[in-house]
Amino acid sequence: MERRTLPVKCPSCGETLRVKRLECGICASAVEGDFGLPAVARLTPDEQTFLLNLVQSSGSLKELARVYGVSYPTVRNRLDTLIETLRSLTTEVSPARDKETKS
Amino acid sequence: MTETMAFPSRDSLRAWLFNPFHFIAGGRALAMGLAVLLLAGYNGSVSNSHFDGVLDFHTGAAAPLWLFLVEGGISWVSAALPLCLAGLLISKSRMRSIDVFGTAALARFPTLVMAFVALLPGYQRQIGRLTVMNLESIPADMAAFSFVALMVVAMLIWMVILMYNGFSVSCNARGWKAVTAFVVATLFGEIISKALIVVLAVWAMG
Repeated sequence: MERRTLPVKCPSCGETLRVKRLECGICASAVEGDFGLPAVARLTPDEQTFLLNLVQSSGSLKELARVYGVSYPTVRNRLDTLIETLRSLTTEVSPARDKETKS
Repeated sequence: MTETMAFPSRDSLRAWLFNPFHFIAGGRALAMGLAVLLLAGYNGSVSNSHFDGVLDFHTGAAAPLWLFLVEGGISWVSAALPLCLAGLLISKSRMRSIDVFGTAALARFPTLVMAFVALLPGYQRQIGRLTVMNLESIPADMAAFSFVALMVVAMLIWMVILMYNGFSVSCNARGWKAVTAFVVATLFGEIISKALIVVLAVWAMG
């Protein structure tokens, strides 16, 4: 089966998508509501792979540098960028939630 | 907007030429850089090429090998130390001194090319004439002299690009802040290196 990437941005306006419905793949029971995507799910596929590789290498940047065939500071710089991205994603407020807070 | 996680390709000639520090840093860059300094010093002693400053190249008087090696060492440390301090001031990352010193040493690779092209017999003959104020010009020797002069300028520009990229990768510094810190640190390094080499020359002459 073709592996599809989870869309995280609206193709029309670029805003972060939210989950409205979750369904059981076996009995088709569904839960509806307004759920935000976790920060890690909102990362790009490359960023998610980087994070996965980091965990699989027990957090060793030296090992990760070897995996990617790049130098230690190059990997560390990418990790710094990823940390910044995760920080901004965890502090980001969606327009829907923002409206709720204001009303 | 998130920055892409894609790393530079190892097949990219451009990356290897202008920013090899994406692939080589730390102890490996330091070992390779020290080899470059030794070879450039040795080549320099043969062609009388002095790297007497962070961004200096002069063909001058013959001197013992150790003087060429010490000049290279002074130029490297004088470049790396201010860059390291600048990195500590502006970097928000956990930078390592070995990356700054290693990349600064490897960034001096173009000095090896400079010392090598300065071996051209035509260039050496022309320099020999200029040293004794002999203004006679032989076209072939003038051509060799011009070629070496152009190569030296090109190599110096390449070295500055390598030095900046080494600093940028080692300290995770980018943008105007990084450029300003690099320029100030390099100018400071140039002054330190010149002062130390003057002291060295005075001491060497007894």
